[in-house]
Amino acid sequence: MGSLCVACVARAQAPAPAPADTTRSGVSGAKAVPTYTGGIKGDVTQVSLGNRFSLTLTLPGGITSMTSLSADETDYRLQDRRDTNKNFLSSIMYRVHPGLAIDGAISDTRFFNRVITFSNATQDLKNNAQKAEANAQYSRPLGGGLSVNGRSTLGLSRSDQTFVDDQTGAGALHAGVRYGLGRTVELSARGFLRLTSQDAESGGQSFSGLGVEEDSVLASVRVSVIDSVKVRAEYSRYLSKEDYLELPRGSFGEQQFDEPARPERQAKDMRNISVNAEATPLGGLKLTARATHTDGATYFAEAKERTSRDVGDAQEGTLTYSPVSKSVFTFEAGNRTLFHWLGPRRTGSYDDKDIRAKFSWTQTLSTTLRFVAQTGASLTQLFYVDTDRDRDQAYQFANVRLISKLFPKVDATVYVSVSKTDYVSVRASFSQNNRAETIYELRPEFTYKINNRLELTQRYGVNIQFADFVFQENENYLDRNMSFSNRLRTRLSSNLGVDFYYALTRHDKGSYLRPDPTAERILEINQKERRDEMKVSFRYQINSHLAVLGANEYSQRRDLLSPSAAVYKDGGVEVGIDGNYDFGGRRTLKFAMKRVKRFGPFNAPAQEDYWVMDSSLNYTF
Amino acid sequence: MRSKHTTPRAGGPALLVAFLLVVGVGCGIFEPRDANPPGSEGTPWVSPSLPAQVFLNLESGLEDLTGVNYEKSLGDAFTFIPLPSDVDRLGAAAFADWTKTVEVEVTQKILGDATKVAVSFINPQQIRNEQDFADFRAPYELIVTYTRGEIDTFKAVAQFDMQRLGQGWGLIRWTDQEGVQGFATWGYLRGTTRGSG
Repeated sequence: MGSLCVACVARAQAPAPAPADTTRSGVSGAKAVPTYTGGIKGDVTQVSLGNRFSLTLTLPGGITSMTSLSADETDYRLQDRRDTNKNFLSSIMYRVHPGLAIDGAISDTRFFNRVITFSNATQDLKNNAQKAEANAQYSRPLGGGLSVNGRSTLGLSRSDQTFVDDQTGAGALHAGVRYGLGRTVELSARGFLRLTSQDAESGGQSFSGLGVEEDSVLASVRVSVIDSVKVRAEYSRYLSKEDYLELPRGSFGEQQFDEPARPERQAKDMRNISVNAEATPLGGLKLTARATHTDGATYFAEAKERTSRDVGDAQEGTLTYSPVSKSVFTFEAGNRTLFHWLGPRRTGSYDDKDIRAKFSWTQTLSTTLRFVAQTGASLTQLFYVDTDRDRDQAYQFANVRLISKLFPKVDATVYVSVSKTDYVSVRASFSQNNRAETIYELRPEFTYKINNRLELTQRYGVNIQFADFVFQENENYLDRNMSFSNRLRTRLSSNLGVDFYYALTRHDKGSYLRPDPTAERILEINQKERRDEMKVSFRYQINSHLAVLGANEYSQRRDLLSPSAAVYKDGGVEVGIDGNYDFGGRRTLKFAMKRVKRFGPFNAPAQEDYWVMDSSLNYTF
Repeated sequence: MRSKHTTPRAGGPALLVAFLLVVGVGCGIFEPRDANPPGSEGTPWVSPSLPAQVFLNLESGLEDLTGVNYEKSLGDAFTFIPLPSDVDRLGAAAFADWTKTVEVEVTQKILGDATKVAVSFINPQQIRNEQDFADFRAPYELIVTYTRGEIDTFKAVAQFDMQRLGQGWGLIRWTDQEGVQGFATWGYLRGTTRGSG
């Protein structure tokens, strides 16, 4: 957050590029800045065109106005669909004095979406909305560490949508107060109230008395008990009631377009309490603890099956200890319980319990060698109230990452890991696939910086997975993956860079059974394949603005158990240009355009030959 | 100047020992519950020596509400590709990194809330027939009767890419291609179910 604020300040203080002739003065001190922005984007899925014209008007007396007109159109290549979006916005802001500002805005938005469905029917969706809004903001320090701020909003809107027309009036009020006593105590509270009233028409029927009532409060207190102990507590509550028209929906939210819209009432009640504590009782020792309680409920008057409530508690703590400057030990532990209640009309409500612990050790052995070791365990349990889906998942892991720079030109990382996951369905109906999966992993990686023009990165990977079924031992299997990749980055000249990449993956899998209970396991491979991937890419910088780039990639997968089997191949070639021009005075032209040709067994024709574009023109008059 | 942190203390190893003791002593709290031996639920598995037989196991695995045959019909590389309109409505995150594990979890959630499931892959049309790869295009219909009594129907047209695997054919890619007016897709059901926690 701090760095973000610093960035904001830096940006605010940086001299803005001064448009050469953007000021059109009608009266002394007035300034008009018209700007045009246009863009074309395209890829395998869609092509879109956007145009936007805006006028920023600065008038004497602290009045600023902004007006914009935009139109965007998108055509989809892989389905019959088109979106059109037009927008008009005009706003004006007046700063009465440094603590008080008022502003107003009007807007007109038109959205149109056409989809051609499977049965060749046309489905049009529109949303045309006009809106007027006025705001006032007040902010003032009162001295003695006390400050207040507030914001009020009044708005009118109407919208014409596919299934409903409505008119809405809205008012909202925010207020906040903050009190700070040096660095020891900080108290703050915010409140929010919003009321809207709406009339609507749908399917030849009129509905009145719709709208929203919502309010919230957020209070927090932060106390530095002593320099090394800080405590922060927060409480928030949100209540809302909304009456609105909606199309009937299925249980998963899908709209049922062939039914008339009907009134619905949705009410929400959300509470959250949290306490955070942080202490540094000794040099090198830091403790944090957090406890939260959440309770969120959503009720529907008509679609009662959508009612739900989640009630949860969580406690978590972290201990970080650095006994010497080159060692850091961290211990984390957490416990969480959450009850998902799905309302009176649904079964499937359940308790979700989760506990976890993790220990990590980071040790710097020398200026060129350090390691990070971690181990931990977790258990997630689901307890269903009224169905037999109870299940547990237990996870244990240990891993070590060794990071070294033994030679000036070689960076090396070696990662070793073992983990075990138990999947347990408790009831007889679903326990037949209960199993333990144990995974061993080894992943070394080396980067050789041969010289300023060449850099080679090699990655190796071995992954071995054992699956042991609890009740069906004849399903036990072993799955092995071995991978090796090379990436060579070259800079053949100051303008030309070429990258080469090759990867090989070998995979096999098979049953891993004992012929009899006392015998050793025997691996019987029934799946064995090899995958080769290759990519060559280049970028040639013609000048500081313009570059040519391209890539060729190819991969193939071969079944090694039946060499006569078909080989699965895919790949493609792409070539294009990339341009970036800045003419000064906020006038820029950026374009990127590539022609792509691909092949692959699952590609539709539209996915085999297309352009990729991303171009924009920004012109400030 | 010598930093006070450069003086080694015995705290680190002690902490490690304490952690191992805590985990060692408290291992029981990370132990899953004992499970009941499996019952006789489920329907027989049709060994898919022909790619079209995969549809039989997909249907039976869902209709018997166990999901077992459905899971066994999916190849390890299984992925699902939704309609762009479903991505627009639910967000790309709802469908990101859709693996076999995700598909199985989502399917189990759907089955867990159902009392009856009826599935039809209607007259699958084979659009590719190779030794190890086969693609089908088929309208599908999924009718779910929920435990609360409601019934929902999901329809669309999808492409099903099959691969010959070690123990017969398996489904490795499901691509929803066209929606049907008035009906949500199975992909939409997948996305909302995955996001329902």
